[in-house]
Amino acid sequence: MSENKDTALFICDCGGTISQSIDLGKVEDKFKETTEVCRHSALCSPDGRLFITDSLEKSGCERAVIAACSPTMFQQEFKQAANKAAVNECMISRANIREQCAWTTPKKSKATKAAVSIIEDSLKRCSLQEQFKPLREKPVKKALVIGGGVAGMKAAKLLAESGIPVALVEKEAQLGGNSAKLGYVYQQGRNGDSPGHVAQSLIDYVQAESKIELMLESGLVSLQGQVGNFSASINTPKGKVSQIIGAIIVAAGYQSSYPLEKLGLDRTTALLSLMELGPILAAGKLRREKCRRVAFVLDMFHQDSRLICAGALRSAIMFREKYNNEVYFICKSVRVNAEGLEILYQKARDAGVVVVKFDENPKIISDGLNTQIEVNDAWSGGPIVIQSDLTVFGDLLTPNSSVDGLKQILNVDLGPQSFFQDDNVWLSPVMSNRRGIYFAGGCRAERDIPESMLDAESAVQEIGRIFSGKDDFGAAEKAVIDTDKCILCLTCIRSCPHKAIDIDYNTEAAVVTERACWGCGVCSAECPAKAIQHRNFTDDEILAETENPGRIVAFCCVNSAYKAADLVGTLRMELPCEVKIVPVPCAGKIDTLYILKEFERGAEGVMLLFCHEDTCQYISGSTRAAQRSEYAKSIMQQIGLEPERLLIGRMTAMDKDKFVEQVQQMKSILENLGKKDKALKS
Amino acid sequence: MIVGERKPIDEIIKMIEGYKKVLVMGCGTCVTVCHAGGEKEVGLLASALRIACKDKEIIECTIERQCDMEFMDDAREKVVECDAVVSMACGAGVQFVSDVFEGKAVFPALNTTFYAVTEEQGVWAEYCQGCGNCVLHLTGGICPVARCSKSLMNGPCGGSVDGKCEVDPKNIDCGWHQIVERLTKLGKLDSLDELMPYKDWSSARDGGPRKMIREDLLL
Repeated sequence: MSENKDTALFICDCGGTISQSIDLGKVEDKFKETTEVCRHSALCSPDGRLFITDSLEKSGCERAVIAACSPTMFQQEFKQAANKAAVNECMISRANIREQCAWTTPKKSKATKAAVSIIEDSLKRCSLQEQFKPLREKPVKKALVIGGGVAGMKAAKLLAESGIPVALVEKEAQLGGNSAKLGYVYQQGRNGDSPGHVAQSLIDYVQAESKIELMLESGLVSLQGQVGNFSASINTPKGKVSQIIGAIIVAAGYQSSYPLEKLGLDRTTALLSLMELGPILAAGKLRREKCRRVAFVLDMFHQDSRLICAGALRSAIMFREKYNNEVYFICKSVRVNAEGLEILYQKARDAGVVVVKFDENPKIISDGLNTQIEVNDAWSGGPIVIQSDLTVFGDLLTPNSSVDGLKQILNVDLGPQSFFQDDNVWLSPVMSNRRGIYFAGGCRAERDIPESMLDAESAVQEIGRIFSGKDDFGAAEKAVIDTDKCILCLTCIRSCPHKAIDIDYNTEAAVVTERACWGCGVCSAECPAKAIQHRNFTDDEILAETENPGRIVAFCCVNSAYKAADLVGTLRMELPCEVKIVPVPCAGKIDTLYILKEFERGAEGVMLLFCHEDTCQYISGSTRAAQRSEYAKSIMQQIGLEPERLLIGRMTAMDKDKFVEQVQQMKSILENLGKKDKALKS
Repeated sequence: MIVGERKPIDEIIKMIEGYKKVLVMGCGTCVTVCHAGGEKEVGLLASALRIACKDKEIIECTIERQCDMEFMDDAREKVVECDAVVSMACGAGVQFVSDVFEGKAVFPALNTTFYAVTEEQGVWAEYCQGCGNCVLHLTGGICPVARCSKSLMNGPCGGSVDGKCEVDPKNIDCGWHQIVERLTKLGKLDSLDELMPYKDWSSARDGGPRKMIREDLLL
């Protein structure tokens, strides 16, 4: 085997699908002088992977370029094959000569030329890549649970059962949260237990279990550190206590309110909200003469939630069964769309509850004891007047008042209705934007008892993943800070969507916690001192791919546009012109500098193709990219370069047609504008 | 920190007309923090100039601080080999480069604006004017010189409406309104009973260019 060649070039025939479109013999000839060329019929097959390991071992190459399918496929398999030959996984580079070359370029000579160029760029990139050893710092296997309601207690129980010690912090003097108080509002537990019983059995467990450290009348006051090693400071009646924990579940619950005053009504014992009625019913304190005619009125301010609607139906049924009184259920619509809830409506009707639907809010007049409700029945169209001596309204549910404070302390995002959890499709239901912090129960959405317990299970599962220590969360592709260049301007700390960067006062520089970093690259593209690089996607590596950019360069997010481009190939659609496609881990990685560099190197047009704003896998990457592109356009304008030459396109991974359209659009813009040198100011 | 913003690039292009080799020189301190003249902005300006001025050679460097002599050595080689320097430092840095490398054409790339705090990422607000005689202990920690449009020492004036300044009610808060609110919170509103005397502006710019000497530090 050869000497002095430090890079192996693996070329895949892909069972003929590549070799029939590209003259691979020519490609081999082109690179055999400079690299160890190894060709195989199917590199992704077990035999092919073995071939990679063997060839790397025999040749002694330290780096490899795999010219085959899209890097979105078989990446782990190829990395493992390299690792087996003691070649570091970060020394592998991919050249996508299948989807984005062989399959999109019908003419063989043209495709062969394009493949050579793609491989050349990948070789340049590969020569810059550096070895990486994953950090295997063990997480602290202890959890903090905030909130002693059903969700919090259930989470504590599950954690304790898996052998994980828990600190359970509750701000009240007793456990149980809302479910202990509200009886009929809630659905029963999965095994048919009453809500009170579910709460009580959890309370008994939590109080008896030695792995659970109970802290009542306590609250989190500060939090430092990152996933695997948080340092929490908790105020307790005995003073401030410090806890080192690996993960946190926030189950701070919700609170309810009802703005009776907005209906011009005073709060009396005959005008209650559902949540106010709950404890009265649970205590069995309501006398029959106080509730001969009961009216439930929902949806007066907004569509009441499923939790409220189902709770009101349960209470209505109970009234019929226990008091045998007149019960009216007045609402815009009945929302019971969940397992085990649909039947509630039928039960209510069977029990004799009168359901009245309205389109316009009813008129409600009350002297504080007797209430008159005038409602236009949506079905008959006629007005109905209902007299009631107990009127119950559906509560407005909002996150617990402690949520705002917790948001600051935990440094996490809130969703649109101020509940926890950012509104992003990539976040699983219990995930926050910070790894190691999870939400469960009423603080993240309006949740019933079974739902809250499900949240607890999911959150504990996520924690199990972290504590197993096996998951390194995409080890290599993380931000790395050059402590000499960092001037602690705080830009990265502020702009990290996952709050994975802190100040390290020892080095007087920002520091990234690898386990907390999601690898989006936002920080490295924002840093004004160029002190941050993204491992495996350094500026040099990314720009190495476009030393000869051609006419159009498209920076494509690997989560959307890059996959869409692959799909163009998979479906054998033709790309209307040659585009240099450069993958980036997220649009947030696209530095304004890249855009100018491409124009500087000769590109006539630059495209940024990435995800829609609310589907960015890294929350704010797509937004940041759009903002930066505006800045780039302002610079272009100042030097007389038409801003239209920078084209922004948002798409999903499935938008193959949109990808082609965008390229076509860029092409026609460039045709209209002519060569860029004509436009420039000097 | 001192903040600044980059001049429009077409103005910079006019400055360097006739020069063949141009060094874009960044400063690694204040103007890096305010995203005006650090290594990143140097890269952007240099790249833009390369696109716009094909006949010129544009080189780059960023040093720790352009307001200290010792750091200039890090740029010396490049300054010597170029025909003109475009400094991305504040006005002080630009002048100091010009002083240190006398005979070299040095041009400003930034408009130096003010002494600021970062209100939030991307938003800087003027908090100090370096008047040389601080009165913050009397005004609840809010500067009447920098944060009152008229630098009044006994405000607010009649142009303060709903806490906003008549100079630009949309964007400028009335400094004196803020002072009164802050002092009220501190329970020190009566400190305003005492009229402040005329401000002696001789300690500020009105006394001519200032120089500060610490005898104990002189070597």
